[in-house]
Formats: sequence, C-alpha cells, structure tokens
Amino acid sequence: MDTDMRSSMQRLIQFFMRCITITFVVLFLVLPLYVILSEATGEGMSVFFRAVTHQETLQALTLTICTLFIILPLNILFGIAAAWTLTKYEFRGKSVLSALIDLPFSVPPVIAGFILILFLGRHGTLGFLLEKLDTQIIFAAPAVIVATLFVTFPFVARELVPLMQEQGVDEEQAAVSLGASAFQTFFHVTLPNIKWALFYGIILSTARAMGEFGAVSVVSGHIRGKTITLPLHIEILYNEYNFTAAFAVSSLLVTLAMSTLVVKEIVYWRSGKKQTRPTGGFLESPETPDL
Amino acid sequence: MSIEVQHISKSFGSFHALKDVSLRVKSGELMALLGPSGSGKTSLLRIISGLDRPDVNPLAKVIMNNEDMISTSAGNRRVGFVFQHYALFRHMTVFDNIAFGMRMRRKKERPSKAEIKNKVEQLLHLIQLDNMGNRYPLQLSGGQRQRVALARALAIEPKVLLLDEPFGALDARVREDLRRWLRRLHKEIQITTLFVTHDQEEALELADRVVVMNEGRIEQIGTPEEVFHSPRTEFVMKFLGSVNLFHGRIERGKAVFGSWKVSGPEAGKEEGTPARLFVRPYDMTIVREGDPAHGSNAVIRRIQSAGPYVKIELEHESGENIIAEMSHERHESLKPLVGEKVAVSLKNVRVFTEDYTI
Repeated sequence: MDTDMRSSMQRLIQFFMRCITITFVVLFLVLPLYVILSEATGEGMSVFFRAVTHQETLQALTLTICTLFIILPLNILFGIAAAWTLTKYEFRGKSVLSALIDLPFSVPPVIAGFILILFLGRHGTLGFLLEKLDTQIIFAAPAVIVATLFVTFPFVARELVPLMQEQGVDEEQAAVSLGASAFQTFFHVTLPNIKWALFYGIILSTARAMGEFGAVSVVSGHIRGKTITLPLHIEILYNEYNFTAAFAVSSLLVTLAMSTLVVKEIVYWRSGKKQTRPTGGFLESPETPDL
Repeated sequence: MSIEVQHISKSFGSFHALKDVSLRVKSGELMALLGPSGSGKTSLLRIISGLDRPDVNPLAKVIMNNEDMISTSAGNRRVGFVFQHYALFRHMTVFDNIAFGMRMRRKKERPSKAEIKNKVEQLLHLIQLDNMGNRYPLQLSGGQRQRVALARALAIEPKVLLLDEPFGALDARVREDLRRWLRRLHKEIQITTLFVTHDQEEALELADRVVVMNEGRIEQIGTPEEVFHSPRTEFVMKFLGSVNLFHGRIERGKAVFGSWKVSGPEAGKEEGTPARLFVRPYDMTIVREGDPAHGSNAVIRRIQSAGPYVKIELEHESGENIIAEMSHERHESLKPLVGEKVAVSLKNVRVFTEDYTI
C-alpha cells in the first residue's frame, strides 16, 4: 500500500516536472521561433527573399561570417594554450590567471565595447600608435572582430580546462618517455584526448560570436554597408519599422544558430558514443586469466 | 647496462624530496626503491628517467653505460618507464599503444610496418595477451593494463626499465601473480630494472637488492636478507616488518631495559645515554612464570590464532604494549590464557643509541 502510494506520488511529481519543462520550452523557445518564421514570411515569400538577399543584409552576413572565420582559429589557439598552461603547469598566480580568463563572462558586453574604445579609439591609450600607422580599428570592421574576440575567447579554454585537469599529464609524459617530440605528443596524444571538448568549445564560441550585439554595437559605429553585423542589421531594420525584413533577417540568424545547435548535438552524441563504447562493451571474458 | 646516480638533490619549494642521494644499480640487476610515501623514491626514479630534473649541482650526475645523461632529454635516454596508473593512451588500441614508441621514431630509424607488427605481436605474446591487440585500455583489467604498459615500455628496446609502484593499484591476488610473472620476465630478458614500492613484502620478494629510503635519504642498501636481518638503522628495522620497541638507558657498560640487560659496544657510551631496544614479534618467547628463563613479566591481553602464526598481545610491566608470535604447536602445548601473567624472553634483539648499534 505504502510503496504503491509513494510510487504514484513519484510519478505525479515526475509528470509535473515534465509539464513545467515542456511549457517553458514551448513558451520561450518554440513559440518565438514560430512567430519569427511566420512574421518573416507573412507578406509572402518574395518579400522574405528580397529582405534576405538585400545588399546590406548580404554585407552583414559576410561580415558576421568573416568575423567568425577570423576569431575561431584565434580562439582555438588561445583556448588550447590557456588550458594547457592552467592544467599542465604549476606556477605562481595561476588562480589569478584562471579568474582573469573568465573576465569576459562577467563583464557586460557593452562595457567591454567601451573598454575597447578607450583603449583603441583615436583618443585612447593606443590611439597615437594607430594614428601613426594610419590604421583605424574603432568604428571599422576590425573593431567588430576585436570585440567579438573579446567576448568569445574564454569559451574554448573553459571547455578544455576541466577535461585536461582530469586527464592529467601522465599520458603526455608517457609519450615523451617513449621518445615522442613535443609536436608528436600534442598531435598524437593530447589532441585526440581533447578533440570533442575542443569541438564543443568551438561551437559555443561560434554561437556566441554570431549573436554578439552589445560590444559590437558600441565599437562598430553602425556604418551601413561596412561595419554592420547580422544582429546590428536586425536592430536597424526594426528601428526603421521594417518589421518583415527584420524578422526575415532574424530567421536567417536563427537558422545559423539552429544549425550550430544541430552540429553540437551530433558532436555530443558522437562523443558520448565514443566514450561509452569501450566501457559499455566491457568484454572481460571469464576464461581470461586476470594476471 | 648499469645506472649510477651521484649527488642528486631535489626540492619543491621548501620541501626537500631528495638530499644528496648517490646510488649504483648493477647491470642486469632487479632493484627495489623501498620507502614510505614522501621518502623521495618516486622523485629519484623520475630523475633517472629524465622526466624530472634534479636541483642544479655541478656534482649531480645520472650515468648510464658510463655516459652522463643528466642533460639528455627523457626521450633520448632510451629508458622504459612504467607509470603507477599505467598512463596508457586511452584513445588507442593495445596494439597502437605498444607500437607508439616505434612509430614516433625519426623516419630513418623507424622500423617498417611489418617489423612493427611483428614486434608488437612478439610483445603481446610475452605479456600473455595474444589476440587482445584491438582492445582499448578501458576494456582491460588492471593487471592486463599494467602488462600492456610494460610491453609499451619494452617496445622501444630500453636499456633500463623503471617502474613506479608497478603493482600499487592492483588487488592483492593479482599483485602476487603479477609479481611472480615479473620476476620470471626479468630472468628471461635480463634488463636492468629499478622499481619503486612502499610494500616491503614486494621489495623483499622481488628484488635482488633493496634500497631503503626515508625523508630523501638512503638508509640502507643491501640484499633482502641483509636489510631484513641486519638493519643498519632504526628506521629500516621499523619499516621492514612489525617490531616491538622498548626504551631504556646505558648503565655500567650495558643497555638496560627493565629486567633485560644487553651488553655490546655500548660499553663505551656515557652512563645514562638513552637506548632503544627493538625485537621482532617472532623473536619473543613466552614462558610460564616460575620457569627458569630470565624473562621480564607481562600480562596477556589478547590471543589471535587465525593465520599462519598465533599472535599474542601483551602488556609489559613497563606499561608498553607488545606483540609476540608463536607457532600453533607451541600455542597448543603452552595453552596461554587471556589475563595470565607470563614471562617474556628475547633473542636477536637490536639496540640503537644515538649513533651505535649492537
């Protein structure tokens, strides 16, 4: 009796939990997505396509994608270097460095943008140098890249640090003692061990880079056809009461975001499969002598 | 190939893991570095392997085959190192793990694919894991992983083999089997081997010679018999097997511990110098009171007869708790009882004062 009641109670709780989750997902994720897509195509597909293929949209898309292709390699390089330093070496000030790497997570993006202006702007700390070199960063395309880099650079490192910490340095040392060079050790031992976490970090920073608004908005200067990214473009369209176009471009960004999500899920699923394969198939046959 | 280290020190901040250690391992020898954790044994092993560097000292040397290797990198020392937790490459099969060292060689020195395959299969046979080449490390038992780690180290045809707590992570049964297997293997391939252990039984059973280490120094080097039967320091005596300790002092040329008097080179010691007497449980003889034996008195507190010997816990008249061991036959004939007052006599005692031993 008693156990029956308890198990039905449990089932009830489970049901409520599921209801809450589903309601939340529908209200805040599925419905908005539906609204965006329906609004975008509300005035017919031709309006949608015109908005999506408009020259300014294409420029924004190009800048967003270009930014992505520049920051990703840098993020990978920095992420691996930072995670390596934090996990495989012991040195003074390690915890400070670890906290500093997290800084872009805690600094609001708008503030990050202002910091960059103060630093790289014409009257900024490095302004005189840039003027001498006759280059402009702030209010130009490079600013978009720098700002995006700033807000995304912890992602790869943060994914790698816990994993590399757990894995320790034993395998690397084993490789070294077997005669492998530093490069061989990295490519044959370290990289294969962290590849899924690395990929996951790349996807997270991709998603963040595409959606970044605050910092980019401050430093880009909103120069049409030049320094506009997709999120900025959406805002401009929206402010001009061009709702259909705004939603059309939004749907473009959403599609990009969704595809990274799909890739992420595939990676997650594959890495999970990879990890469970050896343990899942624990094949200790009884006749094997356990020497 | 012989290994010789000279004047090796290693400190981590203010902690001195090794204090001016010198040691020679003979060619083909199987030697154990025995000591408690923190005694510096693993540090010494890692310095020999080249994975760690000793403190800078112009006299510090790591000599292999009459060649100072102190500035040679780990990869160029041709040392087979087996890690405590195996450190197998988890994303590679057993075959790829063993082949790793050969595949990483420079193109000119790299064996052909067929040669590598041949060699790996030979090694798989040696470690009794034929047909297991395509398994992943996670699919193996602890003992199997340990053997794969050994095969991987042997694949580079090392001149010396270094093993860090080779059986530390295994359960008792497996450990014994693997120990015997390693002994046979060493006989077969005759490679100079140095292994680290905190288990005295393991060191005494497996090694040709044992190096007992404590607090970054070598306490004694000798055959298992030497270190066990003639320990040179208190530490060695205490570390190798259980031991009873009595406190006393020098009186008129004899070390006096209650009613026990031991004579020896302490005679020259100053009157009143503190002395400590050590005796192994099986060197204590229990007799009934009134027997002519000139023992000192103790009360039996507990008798534990499960095991190869009967273990008897006593409270000595000095108030110290002591343990004696006797054979089951002796126990049968003596029939001691808990609470009974008995006399205890000693043989093979060792007395340590500040710097002399009897």
